[in-house]
Formats: sequence, structure tokens, C-alpha cells
Amino acid sequence: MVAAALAVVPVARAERLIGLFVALVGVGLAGFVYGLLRGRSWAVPWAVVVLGAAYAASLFLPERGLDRQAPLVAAGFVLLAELSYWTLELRVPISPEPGMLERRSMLIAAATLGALLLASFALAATAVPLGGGALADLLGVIAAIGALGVVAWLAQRERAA
Amino acid sequence: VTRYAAPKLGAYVGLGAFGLLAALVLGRPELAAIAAPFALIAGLGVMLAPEPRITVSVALDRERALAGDEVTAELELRSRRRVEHLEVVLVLPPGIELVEGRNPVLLRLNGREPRTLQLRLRCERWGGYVLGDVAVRARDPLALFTYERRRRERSRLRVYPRPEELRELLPPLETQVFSGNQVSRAKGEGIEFADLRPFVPGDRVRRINWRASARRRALWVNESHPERNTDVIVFLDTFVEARGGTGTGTLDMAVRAAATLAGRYLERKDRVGLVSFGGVLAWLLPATGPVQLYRVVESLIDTEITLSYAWKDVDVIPRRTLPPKALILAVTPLLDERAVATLLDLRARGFDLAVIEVSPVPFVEAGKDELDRLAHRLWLMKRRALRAQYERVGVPVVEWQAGTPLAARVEEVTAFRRHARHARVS
Repeated sequence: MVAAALAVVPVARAERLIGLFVALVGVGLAGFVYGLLRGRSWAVPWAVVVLGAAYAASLFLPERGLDRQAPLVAAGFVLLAELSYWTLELRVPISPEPGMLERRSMLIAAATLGALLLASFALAATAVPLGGGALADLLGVIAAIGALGVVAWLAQRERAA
Repeated sequence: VTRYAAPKLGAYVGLGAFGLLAALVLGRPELAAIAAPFALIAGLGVMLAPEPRITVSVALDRERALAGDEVTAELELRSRRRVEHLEVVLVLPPGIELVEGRNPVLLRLNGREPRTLQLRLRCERWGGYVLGDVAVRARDPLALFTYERRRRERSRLRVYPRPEELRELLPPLETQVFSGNQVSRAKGEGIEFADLRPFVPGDRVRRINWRASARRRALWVNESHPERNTDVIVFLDTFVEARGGTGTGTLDMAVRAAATLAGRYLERKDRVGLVSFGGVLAWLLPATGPVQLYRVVESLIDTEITLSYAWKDVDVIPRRTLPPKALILAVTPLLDERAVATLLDLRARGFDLAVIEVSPVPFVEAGKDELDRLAHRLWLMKRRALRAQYERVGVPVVEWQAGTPLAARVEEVTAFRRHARHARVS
């Protein structure tokens, strides 16, 4: 349901190339369903990326100002990812003690709420005029490269384990 | 403890990095707002994932049980830190089933507070088991890291076969020289009346039958049968077995019958030995007493089918395991040529032999097509011919099927021996 809602957002916002949007979110949903049904955890982030790409494209077709609903979309993506990974965990036949499922549900709800607040804060921060320039761009590039480096390091650790 | 990152961690870091990069390239702060929660959850996960030091111990409420009994396993879990998500599984070997309790179980463990889980287990099949293989998997609250540990403790559980009801035992043709509970066929000093005979010098006065002497106007004395013990050898055929879909097979039944017979003869103060004749030859010299019962049963529960193509006959059995005049009770499915030939050979050597055939027929389906059914009929006929071959040489063969009492089959053997002659085999 969350995935469907996230798929509807870019299609509803798009004014052109609706067929392309439908195809894009369709691929995302198909990957997501495949991952859940076959227990393939790698399919979840790819589905999120495709749905996120559709949302990103909808910001440009047509070009709009700041999307005030972005925090809701961010919370939706976090909720989608958390629920997906939980679903994959529950594929293992295990008998939970009373209260375990409720506790996990609360944790996911807290993560979603936190995502909503963080995204709102991040979006609000963009409204603060800090200026720009080459230095800011350089910092951004360094941060992105650093993030990718962390990804590579974690991937290597996971393979070694 | 093996720690590894869950796929979720890589995915969240990747989504965070990709989103932030896309926001930078495309100049859309919305993408940064979407990516930031993923990056933050990943960062928090890395920072707030200390290794939980979990210790597990397993204890059983007893070390010995009968097949069908229930035992309680207690798992005690401890951790220095609180573990929000802990999966625990006690690996149960085949033959041990969970009756009550959760296994595997997902639970929460408070730091420094031991947690005890109780599992009721049913011993479905006899055998020697080692329990205590416990796998635990812990996750941090955000489920980004997984910690796995496998604990192998040695909690031994010996499950003995449940004995069959057996009131009457098969009497041997000949007894040994030691005192026991079996009335000998020979005449001698004893309680059981055997016959009358004329008095001869040297007879004790108290043996004179005064009533018979008065009637015959000459001294007559009572003769009696002495009470002697017997040597019983339980011969267990372990070359092959027939096994059904329910998990039971001829070996299970054979072991149960062997344990029952050994126990009952030992109760009667007879000497009992065991020959496990199969791919692996195992034996116990005849002895008496409760210690011997434990030896026999311990030996029986370690019995298994070991595939072997090597020809084996009576020569490989140590001589001392087969004392003269011993009653040999063979428990066999009569499926392997080597066991069949060895039993005939024992009979030819003059041993008192009785065969309890643990019938493999219920475990074999006739097949669907005509040819299979024909083969099945031929096989059944061949088995009948084999039984007849034993009976021709004076060996009683009784067919024991699952669900029928062993006592009735033993009674059949007794009846056969009552009417059959002790034949000599050339």
C-alpha cells in the first residue's frame, strides 16, 4: 500500500510523459514485489531507487519550486524500506514472544516519524540563505565521495564476513 | 560471535549517498530531504550497535529416558547488554520432537538478567543423542548488524527402546549347569516332580514316595527336574532394514524386541549375550545381572545399519559369544543372504535356534504396474519358501509385524517347539 502510494505521487504530479512515469513506477513496483515474494533483499533498495528516480523526474516535468510534500515522501520511503526488510525477516519461520511484533511496529513508526521530522528540518534548512559558490560545491562533492567511500568499505566488510 | 552487516545497512548507506549526490547534481533539496533519513539511520546504527555478549547454557532434566517419554530442556540466556531482537534455536536431532515451548523463538533479553526457556521434548526414537547445539542470532534495534553465535554443548541423552509386554518366555531345549529359574528337562535334584523310579541304594529316604511304595509293595522314589539357568544369545541382524514413510523400520522393531527379550531373560537370572551381526559385528559375552542389562541396552541403542558388501558368516563371530547349549534368539528381517546363511549354519552346528522375523512386508509397497506386482508376489513366495526351509531343519520362524504383540509370536514359537522334533541337520 505504501509502495502504491509512493508510485501514485510522481504519476499524479507529472503533466507530460505520463506513460514513461507509469512504466518507471511499474518497474519499481515489480522489482519490489519480486524482492518480497522471492526473498531477495537486494531488490528493495533498487525498487526504492527507481521509485525515487520517478519522484525526482516529476520535480522537473514540469520544473517546479520547492515541493512542500517532500518530507511526507521521505517518511513514505523510510516506511516502505523498513516494512520491506521486516517482511523479509519474517520469512524465517520463528515464533515471536508476545509483545515483540508490537515493539518492532513502534520502532518502525518512530523511524518514520523521525524521518518526517528530519526531512522537514532538512527542507527548512534550504530556506536559510547561506550563499553558494565553489567552496560549497567542493564541500558537497567531498561529502558525497565520503559517503560512497563508506558504502564501499561496508560492502567489502560484508563480503569478508 | 560472528558479526556482519545486514543487507539493510548497505542499502541505507547506498540510498543515502545516492540521494545526496543526486540532490547535489540536480540541485533539488527534496532529494536531500529524502536521502537524509536513510543516511541518519545508517549512521545511528553504526554508532549504536555494541556487540552483545550472549552466553547460553543447556540443561536436560535427565540423561536417560524411554522411547515416547518427554524430557525438559532448559536454555539459560545471559547478556551483558540489552538485546532487542534475539533469535534462539535449539537444534533438535531427528528422533527428538518439540512438544511444548517455542523453538525457534524470537525474544528480548534484558542486560544482566538471565532468561530461562523451557522446552518439552518427546523422544520419538531410541538412540544416543547429543543435545545442546544452540544457535543464537542477535540484531541491533535498527536491524543493521547481525551477531551470530553457535554454542555446542554436550548434553547427552540416552533413549532406551520401550519394552514390549512379554509374560512367557521361550524355554530352551537344554539348560546350563548353574542354578536358575528354568526347570530343566533332565532329572536331578530339584522341586519340580518328574517321575517315579524304584529305590536304589544311595537314594535319600526323604525322596521315597510312601504312597506309591505302599501301593506297589516296594520302595519307589520321586524323581525331579532341577532348576537351572540358561544361556540366551540375542542375535540381531543389522545388515539391512526396511523402513517406512512414517520413520519406523524393521531395525526399530528388532531393537525393541531384542531389548525386551534380553531384559526378561535377565530378570529370570539367565545369562544373556548379544551378537549384533551386520556391516559391523558387535558382541557381548553372556553374563547375568542388572549391569548386563545396561550393557545390552547401551549396545542396542548404538546399533545402526552399516552398509557392507563383505561376505560374513558364522566364522567371524567369536566362539565365546556362543556357548554350547545356548538358546539363540535371532531377531531379523530375513532380508540379507549373509544373515540367513549364518542362522542356518548355526542350526547345523547344533545350536538351539528360534527366529523372530521382523516382517519387512508392511514397509514394502506392491507397486503400480503388473510387473511390479508380479515381482512383489514372487518376493513374498520366496520369503515363504525361506521360512519353510528353516522349519524343515526344526527352526521355528514367527513373523512379527508392527502393531501386533510380541508375546503372541513368542507363544507361537513355544507351540512349534512343543510339537516339532529336534531335528539333526547334516
